[in-house]
Amino acid sequence: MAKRRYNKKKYEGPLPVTLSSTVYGPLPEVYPHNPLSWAYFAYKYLVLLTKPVPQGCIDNIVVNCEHTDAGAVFTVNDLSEMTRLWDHGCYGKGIFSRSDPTWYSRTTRRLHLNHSSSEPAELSNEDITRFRREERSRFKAERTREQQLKTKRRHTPLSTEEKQELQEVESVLLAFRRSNRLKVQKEQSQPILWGDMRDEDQLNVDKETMELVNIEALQLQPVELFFLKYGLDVVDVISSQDASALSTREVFFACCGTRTPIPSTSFIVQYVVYHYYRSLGWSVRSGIKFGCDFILYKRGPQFSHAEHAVLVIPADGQHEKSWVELQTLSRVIGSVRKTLVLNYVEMPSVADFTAVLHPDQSDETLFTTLLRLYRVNEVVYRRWVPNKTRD
Amino acid sequence: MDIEDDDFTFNNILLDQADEVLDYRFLTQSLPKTGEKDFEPDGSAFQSNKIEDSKELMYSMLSQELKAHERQVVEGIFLPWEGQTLIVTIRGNYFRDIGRNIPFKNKSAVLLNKIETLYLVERGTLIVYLGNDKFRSYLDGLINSFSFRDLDPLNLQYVYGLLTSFEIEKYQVFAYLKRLGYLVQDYRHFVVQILPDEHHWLSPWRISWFGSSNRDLLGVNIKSIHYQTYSQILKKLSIIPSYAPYESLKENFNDSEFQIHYNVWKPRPAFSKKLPPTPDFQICITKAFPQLHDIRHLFNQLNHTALNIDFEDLEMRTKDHKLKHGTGRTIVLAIINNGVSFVNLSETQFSLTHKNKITGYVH
Repeated sequence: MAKRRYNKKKYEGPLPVTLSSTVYGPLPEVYPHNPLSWAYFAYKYLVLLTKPVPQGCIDNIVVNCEHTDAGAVFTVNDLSEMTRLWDHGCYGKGIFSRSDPTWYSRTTRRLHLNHSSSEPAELSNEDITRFRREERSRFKAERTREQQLKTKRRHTPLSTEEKQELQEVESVLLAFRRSNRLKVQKEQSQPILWGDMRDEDQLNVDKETMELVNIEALQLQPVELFFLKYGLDVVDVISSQDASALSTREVFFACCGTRTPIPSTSFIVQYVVYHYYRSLGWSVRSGIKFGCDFILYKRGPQFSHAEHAVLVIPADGQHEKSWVELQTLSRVIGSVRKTLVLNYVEMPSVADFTAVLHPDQSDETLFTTLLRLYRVNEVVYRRWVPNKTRD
Repeated sequence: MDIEDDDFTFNNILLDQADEVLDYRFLTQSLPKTGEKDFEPDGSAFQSNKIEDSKELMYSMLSQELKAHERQVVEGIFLPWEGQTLIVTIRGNYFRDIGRNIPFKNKSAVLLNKIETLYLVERGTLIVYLGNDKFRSYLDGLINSFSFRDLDPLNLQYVYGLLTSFEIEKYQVFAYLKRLGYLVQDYRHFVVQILPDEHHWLSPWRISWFGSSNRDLLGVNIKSIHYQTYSQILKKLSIIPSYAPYESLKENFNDSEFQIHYNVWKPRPAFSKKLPPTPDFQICITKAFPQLHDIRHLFNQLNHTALNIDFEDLEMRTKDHKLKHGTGRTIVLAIINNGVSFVNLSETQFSLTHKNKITGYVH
């Protein structure tokens, strides 16, 4: 399975922004000792300024904001916008998928709805995992047989047939262990008739055109949404109550879950850390499955495992973690080969905080001023095993 | 000293034997090694015999008595009025790192603290006697000679009883590291000189190249600026201040009670007790996990060497390694909680902007 090529196609950069260099080509290099290269650069640069900015011609992504008892829920429903957010920096999570929104392609593949197109439907992560698990269970069945025969051999000598079987099993196992390529079984591509589909599938397939209707949405964490809104301004947040567009300040309050936030409001502290790592180019995803706040990927989960796990600790003396909590977390993080980074966030006093968040402050400068009042402190937490560091 | 020569040779043979049988792993190699479940009893004589043999070897080894080499056993006198043990005749290789040398009757002697005393007694290399008034008069020069026969030997239980409960915990850490071969000394503070360099934060003119220079404006403006690379946008987004390693040296954290207890060196052939090199590890023994200002206080107590790296020149792989092991100082915590666990805490900075210059340390 040519996994790498598939990934390259899916990754287009750390931010959902179209660069000028992608559309108009990069500016020429400048050589300090060659004045001609300066002139050429200046000429190209001036020409570039006359052209429209590519990102200015692209509509903002529409994000739906629904107010629930558990806080605001942000979703993107358009299939192409979901893909755009995922391919440019891995934002959000498909609500029916493991991470990237693959429900549409998965279901199309399962129901063989793309039989008319010449290209086979792309394999999703979930499909690949399924194939891997099937292969693994075939391997385990062979291994069990090998162990049965070997145990029997310790009790009584094996018969000729059994000896031969053991040899065969051993060679099959060797082949399994040596190959690291996944063999994908070809599935029959006969289209399923509408009448043969399960009831729940019929609900999602158009009877006339036999096309799947997308019902999956991409859900954004509040920190992701606020980064896209405040940091990049590539999204329009629409309230589901009255279909009105929310201002940055309204989005901020929706994320905080309150109109009267305090310096240690969880969302703000989390956002400071999220923004910090995003601005350094890391792909930041939720660390909930490892019991921490964030995990950091070099480019994204489709390329390599996350290298660092970040635990956010507000440094106001009231949110300190006990050693047992940290050690427990460290064991989990250690077993998945990541580094545990404790991120202590220092925060402003209530007076400074309230002064900045004053209603008179303009939205444009408010949040940058506010975020500059915080400071992140990073401490790596690692087990020390004296046995292993002697030399 | 009551160990006879015969005893000594017998002992030697046992020790040699022990060395030979120590590696009883070779037996397991003939058992299938595919996984733990293979050691589940399968009822075959082949397996049960092998396991039985291996067990017997283990028990015979455990039943050996721990004895020290006669020539290396030393005698000491515990001085209750000083809380220390005096060793007049030094033998063996134990005093490379522990004890303090003092002049004694025109010769040199060694004073051990209680933890060091207990370690050597438990190891079987020190026989310790309780110093009495008569011995005190000898020390004061009132009597010219003394004999060990006039003193009462102390047993292990008594030496344990000399330690407070915190000292017992300190002892656990000390003995564990000593048994692994580390060189351990009580923490000594060396004065650190720091020449704080100006922080090379991303210079404002570089950020404003494509837009406004107002500090409070993010000014990314992706809809009106022609960006050539993603890093141009990311630089503008870099607004969150971060703590740079060594920055804590500019502050005092006197309200913190955390302190370093031990300086630890990896095993090495040459070691000067008086003028030790920079420790490889510095250990704080604690029951509670420190808060941020405690961690900084501990960092400030460290004796560290110069560190002056320009992170921009580093290769990606080196940068990765730096991030994982910290870009600044490291402290080891020995946390006492139903046993001892060791944790490394290293200061790091993912934005890699610090360029503080630290000069060497002074005794």
